Amino acid sequence: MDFRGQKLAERMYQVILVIAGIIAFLAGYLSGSFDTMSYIFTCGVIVAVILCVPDWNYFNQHPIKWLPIDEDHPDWETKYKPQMEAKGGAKGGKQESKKKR
Amino acid sequence: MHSYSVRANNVLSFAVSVWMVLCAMATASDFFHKADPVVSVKLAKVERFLRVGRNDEAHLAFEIDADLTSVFSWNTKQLFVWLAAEYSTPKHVKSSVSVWDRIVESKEDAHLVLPFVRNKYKLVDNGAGLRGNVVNLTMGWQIMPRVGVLRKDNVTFPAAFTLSEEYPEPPQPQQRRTGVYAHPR
Repeated sequence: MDFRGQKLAERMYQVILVIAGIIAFLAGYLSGSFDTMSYIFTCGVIVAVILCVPDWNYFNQHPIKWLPIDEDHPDWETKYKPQMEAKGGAKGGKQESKKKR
Repeated sequence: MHSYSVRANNVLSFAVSVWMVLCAMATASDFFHKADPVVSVKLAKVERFLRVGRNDEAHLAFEIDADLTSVFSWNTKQLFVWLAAEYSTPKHVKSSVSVWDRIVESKEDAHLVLPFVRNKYKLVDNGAGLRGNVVNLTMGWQIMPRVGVLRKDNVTFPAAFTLSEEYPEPPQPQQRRTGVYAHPR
């Protein structure tokens, strides 16, 4: 899920739940039944969970565009990692310092 | 919002917030509910009136016609209806004794038509002050909501009946409770 998808999901569940709440209250009040209100609102919650929780396609319409790898922005794997390993690397040095006394 | 669990948490917590608002609105709507209960309670008969030990006892029967249908609103779960006998004696200025009650669970059962109903709990005075005494009857009901505050209301029938000056039957000794340790004499 990309960033715009996250914003969309948040706005979607807010709108769905508020509309479900308004419909549920009106239906319950007009029919004189508290249970009707509970059922309709529960259905609204289920709809909101189904539409907003899974990572649906419509949340991934704006993927993050990374800058291309060029001279100014080299790839870490190919340029810096071999240098680090040649020096002895961060791994080796740190692990030796943690020896048992 | 980047993972399933965070999204589920956000959706459900917002749902609970909306539900709380709905419950508050349901409670608020109760205050605009107009009820016009029609209640009539009379004494049908004093079945027994005697003195037991040091206390007066009266066994009563009532004629009740109470239409509490309009008390039910959409947010009402049940009613607790009771009948209290209120009187005053020189020993105790205000006595209120619950003599009958009933739980009304639905609007359909809320019209109580009971031409002759015996008391559930006999009228026992703390002392011997019932002879010739004027007794008020009060029907009260507590409105138990599904959500919100408990409210109550009542109707009083002043001087509903007067008990006789003499006991119609001889006094009885206080019965010793069985199963309770009694001091040896």
